[in-house]
Amino acid sequence: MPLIKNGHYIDDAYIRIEGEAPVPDDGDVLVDAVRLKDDTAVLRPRQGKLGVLLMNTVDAEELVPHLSKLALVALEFPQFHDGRAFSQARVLRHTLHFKGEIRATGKPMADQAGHLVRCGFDCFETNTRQPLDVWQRALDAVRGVYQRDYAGLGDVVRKDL
Amino acid sequence: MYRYDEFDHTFVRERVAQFRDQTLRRISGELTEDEFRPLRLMNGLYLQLHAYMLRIAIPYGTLSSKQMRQLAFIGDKWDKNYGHFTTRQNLQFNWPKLEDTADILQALADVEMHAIQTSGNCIRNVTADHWAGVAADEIEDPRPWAELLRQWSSLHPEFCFLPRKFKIAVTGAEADRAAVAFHDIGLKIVRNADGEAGFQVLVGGGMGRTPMIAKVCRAWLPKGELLSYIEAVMRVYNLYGRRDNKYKARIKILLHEEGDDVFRKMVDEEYEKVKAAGGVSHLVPEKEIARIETYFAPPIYDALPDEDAQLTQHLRANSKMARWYEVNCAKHKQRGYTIVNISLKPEGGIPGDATSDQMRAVAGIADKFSLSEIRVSHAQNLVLPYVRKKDVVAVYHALEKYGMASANLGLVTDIIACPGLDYCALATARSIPIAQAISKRFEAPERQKQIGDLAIKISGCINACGHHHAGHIGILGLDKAGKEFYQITLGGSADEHASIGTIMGPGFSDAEVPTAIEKIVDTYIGLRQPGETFLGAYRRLGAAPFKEAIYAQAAE
Ligand code: SF4
Repeated sequence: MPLIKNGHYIDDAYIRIEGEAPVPDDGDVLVDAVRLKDDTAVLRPRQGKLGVLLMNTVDAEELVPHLSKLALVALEFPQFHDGRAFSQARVLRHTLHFKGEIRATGKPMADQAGHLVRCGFDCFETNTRQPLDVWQRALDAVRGVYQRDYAGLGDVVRKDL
Repeated sequence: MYRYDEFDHTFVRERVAQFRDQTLRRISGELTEDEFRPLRLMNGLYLQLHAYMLRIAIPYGTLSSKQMRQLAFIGDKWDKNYGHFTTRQNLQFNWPKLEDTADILQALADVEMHAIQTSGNCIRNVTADHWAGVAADEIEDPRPWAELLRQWSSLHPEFCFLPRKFKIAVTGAEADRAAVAFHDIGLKIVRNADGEAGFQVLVGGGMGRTPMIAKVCRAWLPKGELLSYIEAVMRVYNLYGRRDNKYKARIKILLHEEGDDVFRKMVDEEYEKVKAAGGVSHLVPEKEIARIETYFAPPIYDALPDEDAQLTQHLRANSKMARWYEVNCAKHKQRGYTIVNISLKPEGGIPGDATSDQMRAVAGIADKFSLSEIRVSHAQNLVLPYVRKKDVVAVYHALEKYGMASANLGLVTDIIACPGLDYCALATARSIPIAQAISKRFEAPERQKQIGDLAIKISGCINACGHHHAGHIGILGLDKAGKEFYQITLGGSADEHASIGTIMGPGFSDAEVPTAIEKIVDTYIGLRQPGETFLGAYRRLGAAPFKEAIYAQAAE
C-alpha cells in the first residue's frame, strides 16, 4: 500500500521479512518485533536499517533493550477504530524518547491524520480511496490543540499553556 | 460562565468546517456509510429509527440565556419546535436532516456550543453537579475543573478511539447530585487531613447490562495533578481494555477482571512514568486554571435578609405556589437567594422535552431573575441558579404561564425516562408512554407529597440510558417474542450512598406497570416508620414485602 510521509508519497525502502525468513546482509528490513528477543542474527551488524513491526497487543516497552538499534517502529491499525497504537506511539515518543520513524500500518484513516501526527507518527500507510490531498486536508482541518505536549508541527497550541 | 477566547472559537469553527467537508464527502458518495459513521458519531450525529438525531453538548450542564435562545431557534428552524434534555445534561434534536447539520453546528458555534464527542468511543461531554457554585453543601466549585477537562478531552490525540465510550462526572459537594459512582471516572472534591482540597478519583462505575459502582482508585489527588493522572488511567484503558466484545469493553470490566489492586497498580505505574516523562509539566499550569477560574468567580450578590417578608406572605396566601416553593426550590449558599428547579416533568408529559417557546421563556426568566444563567440536571430538569427570594413569586408566575411550574422535584412523578422505542434505534420497548402512565396515576399533588422522595427511572433497553439501575424504582423495557414487557428493580440509588437496584422477578406488560408501581408505593406507605423515605424503608425491609405485593396482584 502507498506510504505518505511529510506530505508526499514515498517509496517503502524497507523489505518486509515475513515470519522467520532469514535477514539479508544488506538493505533496510522490517521484521516482527518478537524476533528481537530470540534471534540474535537479526541484531548482528549489517548494512541497512532495522525496523520492527509491533503488534498492538504488545507493550512498547519490550523494545527498550534494542531501541537504539531501531530506525523504524511500525505500529498496526487492524481496524481504524482500534486505537491502541495511538498509545503505543505516545509511549515510544514521550516515555521512551524514541527518535526514529513511527509508521502507521494496516487501516489508519485519513481523518485520523491529526491524531496520528500528534501522538508521534510520521509516516502512514494509506489506501487508494484516500489520496494524498485528503490526508493533507485532514491535517490542516483543525490546527488547534488543547493538549500542549501532544502538539506536532504546524499545530497551534493554546497560548496560555 | 466560561467564555470562549480566540483559540476556542477557532477550534470549534474549524471543527464545523471539517464536519461540513465530511458531510459533503458522504453525500457525494466519496465516503461510504461505514467510513462516515464514526466521523458523524464524533460529532453527535446518530441515525435513529425515523431520522437522524443530533446530540448537543451542554458542558457540565451550564447554559446561558443566549445559548438557550439559540437552541430554541435551531428547534424552530431545523427541527420540530422542541428538544429533549437528556440524563447526560445534553440536548437532543430528533429530526434534523443530514444536509442541515453543518449549518446547525455553525449556529451552535456562534454561541460557543458544539456537539463534539457527544457520541462515539471517546471521552464524552463532562457532566457535573447542576447546583455547582451555588449549593449550600459545596466544598469547592467543580466547574473550573470540568471546563479544564472539557478542553483537555476535546479531540484528544490519543484517546478518541477507545475500546468504548468514556464518561467523566465531577462534583464538589458532599451530597452527590452528579451520580459520580456510576461513571467511568467519577471525581469528587474532598479535603485531606490537612484540610487541603483535592480529588477523590473513582474508576469503573457504569450502568448498561453490567451495572457497577465505581471503586476508589485514589483517595486524594492534588488538584494540579488531575490531567496527568487521568492520562495514566486512560492509557491503561486504551491499551488493555477489551476490544473483542463491545459488552465487555468498558473500563469497569477491565477493572473487574484485573481486580481492584492490580488495576490500581497498573495505573500507579503508568502514572509514575507520565510524571517522569513530563517533569513539572505534568502539573496543570497554574496560570491556565487561574484563567478558567476567573470565569466562575461568584457573582456580586445583593446583600439581602435571608427571609423575604413579602414572599412569606405570598406563600401563605397561595398554597399551590407554597408547595412548589417547598418542593422545587433549594437552599442557596448566599443569604436571600434560592436555587429554583424547573421541572420538565408535567404530570402526564414527556420527561425532559421542552418546546422552543418554553426554552425562550426560560431564557427570558433567566435574564430577568437569574443572571442569565441556566443549568440542566441529569434528572432532565432545568435550574435557575441565582434567584433572589424576593423574585420568587414573579418567577413562579412566569413559569406557570408556560406549563413549567410542576411542583414535583424529586417526587414520584419526577420520572427519568430515555427516549425508548419512540425514537431510539436500539430500544427493545417504549419508555415514554410508561412514564406518562405512571405520572398520570400519581398526579394528585397531595398523594405525591404523602409519598415523598421517590426516584423512578425508566430505560427502553439494557443500555440503561434512563439509569434504571440507580432508580429507587427502576423499570427496564424488554422484548419477549415481539411483545414489550417491563422488569422492575428496587433499591437503586445514584447519590453518595450509591447502590444498584435488585430485580424483583418476572416482568409486567405495559398496562400492568402503573398498578404494580402503585402496589409497591402502597406497601411502602403501609410499612414505613415516621420520616422514613422509600429508599430507607426498602433498605430496612428488603425485597420480600414488595415482591409479595406485586406478585400476589399478578396471581389474582
Ligand atoms: S436505554 Fe436503550 S432505548 Fe433507551 S435511549 Fe438508551 S439505547 Fe435507547
